[in-house]
Amino acid sequence: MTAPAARLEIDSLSVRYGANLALADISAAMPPGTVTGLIGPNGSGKSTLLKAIAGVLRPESGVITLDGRPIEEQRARVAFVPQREEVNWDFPVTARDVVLMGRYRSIGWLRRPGREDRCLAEAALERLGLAGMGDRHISQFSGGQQQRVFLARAMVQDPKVVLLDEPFTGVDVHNRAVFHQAIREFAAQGVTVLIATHDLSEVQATTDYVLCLNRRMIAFGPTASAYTIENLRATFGGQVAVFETVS
Amino acid sequence: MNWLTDPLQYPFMQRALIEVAIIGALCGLVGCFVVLRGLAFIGDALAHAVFPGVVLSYIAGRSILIGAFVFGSLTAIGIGLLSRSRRVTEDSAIGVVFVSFFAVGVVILSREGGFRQDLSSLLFGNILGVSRNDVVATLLVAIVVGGVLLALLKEFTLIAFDPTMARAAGYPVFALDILLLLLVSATIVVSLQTVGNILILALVVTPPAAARLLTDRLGRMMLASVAIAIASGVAGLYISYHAATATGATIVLTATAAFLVSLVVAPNHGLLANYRQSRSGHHHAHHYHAGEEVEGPRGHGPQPL
Amino acid sequence: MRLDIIFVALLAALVAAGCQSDDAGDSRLKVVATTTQIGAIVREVGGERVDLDVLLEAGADAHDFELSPRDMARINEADVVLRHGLGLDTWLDKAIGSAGGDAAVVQVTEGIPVRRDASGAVDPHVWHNPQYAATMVDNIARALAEARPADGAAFEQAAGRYRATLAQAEAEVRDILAVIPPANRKVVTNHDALGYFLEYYGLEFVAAVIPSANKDAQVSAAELAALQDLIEREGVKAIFAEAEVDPAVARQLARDSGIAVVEGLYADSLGEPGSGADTIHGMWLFNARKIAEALK
Repeated sequence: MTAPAARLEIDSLSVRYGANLALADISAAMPPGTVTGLIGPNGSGKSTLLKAIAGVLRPESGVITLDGRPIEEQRARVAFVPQREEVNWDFPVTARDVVLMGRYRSIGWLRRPGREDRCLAEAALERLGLAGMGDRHISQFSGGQQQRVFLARAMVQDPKVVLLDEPFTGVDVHNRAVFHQAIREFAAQGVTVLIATHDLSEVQATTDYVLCLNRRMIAFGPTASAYTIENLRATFGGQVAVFETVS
Repeated sequence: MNWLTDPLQYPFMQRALIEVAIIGALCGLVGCFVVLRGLAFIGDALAHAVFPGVVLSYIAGRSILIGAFVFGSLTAIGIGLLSRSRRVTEDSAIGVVFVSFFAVGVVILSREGGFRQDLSSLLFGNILGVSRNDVVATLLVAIVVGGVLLALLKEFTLIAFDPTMARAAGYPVFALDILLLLLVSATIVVSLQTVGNILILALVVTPPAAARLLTDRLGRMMLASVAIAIASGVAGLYISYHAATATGATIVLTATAAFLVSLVVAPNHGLLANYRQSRSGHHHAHHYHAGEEVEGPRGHGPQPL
Repeated sequence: MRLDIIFVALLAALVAAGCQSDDAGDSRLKVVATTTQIGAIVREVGGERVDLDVLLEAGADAHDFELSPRDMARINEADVVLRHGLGLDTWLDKAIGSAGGDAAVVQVTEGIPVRRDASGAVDPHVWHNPQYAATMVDNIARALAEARPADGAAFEQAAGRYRATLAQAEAEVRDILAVIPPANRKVVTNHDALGYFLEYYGLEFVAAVIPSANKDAQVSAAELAALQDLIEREGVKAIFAEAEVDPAVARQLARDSGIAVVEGLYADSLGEPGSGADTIHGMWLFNARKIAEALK
């Protein structure tokens, strides 16, 4: 499963909710095969940005391109992993059902999932350590496993871009490690990954780029240079305590 | 076996049974999405809103289906447009505006009805008076509505489960939502003759609700819902025959009885199951809520990695 | 203080104005009738001397009827309120209570022996019986005369003329129905509303689809099955559906039994003006012709 290298470019993106400007003039270019951490406090517009890229929200202005072409033409190759509380866990679907949803666009209208689709779904579940659990109802998994089901769904889309909205909520440390491993594998294949998170503990270790956001873009750049205390202060409004890991 | 075969010798019972079976299948199928998407209130509003259309057709001497379809479609589109406004469901607007349609229907009936004021058959259905043409019309509508629903099953499922991904994938979610509302509206309209305006929602909501208790898989839920709906309709008709009770209401009560039975005996979600589980200390089908830490099912099932 | 005086003066003026009778010289007897049948008789008996208001319209449902404020005002101002009773206009009791006024309330069916329908309730459709209709005419004439003794003689004369008209119509109905052979003199109606008519003219009432004089009752499947058997056994030739009730079930029953269904009989209410059935005798003749046509 190889995805051709995909460069994601955001140019002067603004999104408005009624009278409020939720995102103001965001511009950033993410090189292919990189993991970008999208950080900012609650309400800073992280979800909004991801949804604008995914095409769920319509921006007021700005252009988003993938590989130089408008992203609107490449919806099928953009995968979105939603926040936990936005998912209806009571819905009568199994893990396999959810993963198969990633194939719907390829299957097309009026046709049903076939053998090949089921194989791909099973393979994705296996890659994420959920082999043989496809028949289980989605509420019967742990938090970390549930996230992996959605990641498997993203996987079968054969995406160029994967967007993750607060994926670590309710996931313990061990599962996070598995998760990060899967994300690394995506990136290694040239997929561009964006992760929105308000949990900063792992940002330095797991991302190549950071985008500091608080409605406007505070900073964007390689993690090594852009993830600084000054930028964090500016993003989080000044109340920042820094704990250094003593290795 | 006489109790089974006796009613069948009468053509009006044969027609009623066929009609109720078709309606049961349709309501059971479409009702799944009404229940899963929480459209019960909208369904009730639709049932009320088609009433002026029914009245106008009735007065004009035409089949009530025509007026009802027109009003049902207008209402469905109206609700769809209303829901699109930034606040997702304007419950109050739907409740006030579309239920007042019902009052409009009553007023029209009382002022212009003249000699055709049979309110009770409009409100409670008239399944004993269905003609062969009515049954054929019902079958055709059921085939079309059911066909569209099944053809777009995965799309409707995706939108119901994850509308965000549906949008992200580029599906025309708004158009599909309107289409679903139109299908629900058509289902309600064609079912009016069996149990009438007031009770129709029960037939659309109760069988799927019962089915949801019995299974966690969508495909099985749809099958169970259809089966329960058909069985309730047929059983209700037989009971009303032998006990000389009002047909529409008896059908609804039979469906409710099926629901109550499901509530008690359902393997994972039923009252008996919950009682047994709390006594033995096991937890099957444990539901995880957002934000909770990792918690595997204790006792049965694999442990989290 | 000054405001209080002005307020009280205003109130007194209003009360005084309200107490005055505001009839701009209309000296006709004010009569309110509940049903179309009573209204039709009042027109014959009272003529120009009466200012008549009929509460129910042609085809309106007597059981679900709701009075409008205007109706209440008319009741308040009326000299005489003529009601049918026998369970047909029970809503009038509360209305008279709250409308106030000092009208004389007269039940025009006093003294008429009633029959009971299949469900055991009193059947109020007495106007289909010529003798009872004549009694209604008498009761109405008397009520009008008591309210306006000066016109008593005129009312009595008009009543006499109308009774003659009714007698003539009765004879005509007999002639019309005479052509029906004895074997065919069996009638099934939609609800049990023509009982008095059938009994008087010697037609056999086999059954009604809705076994009640109240058309809001719903027929059950078992009853319908029994009726289909009965129709077959008795060799009934036609089902008669009244204009006021949904004919769907009657139609299907007729089709299943292979017999005719005749729609449009007037059973609960008189017809609209111009239908030919907007008077009592007109209604009789209309119904009789339809029945004879189907059963002969």
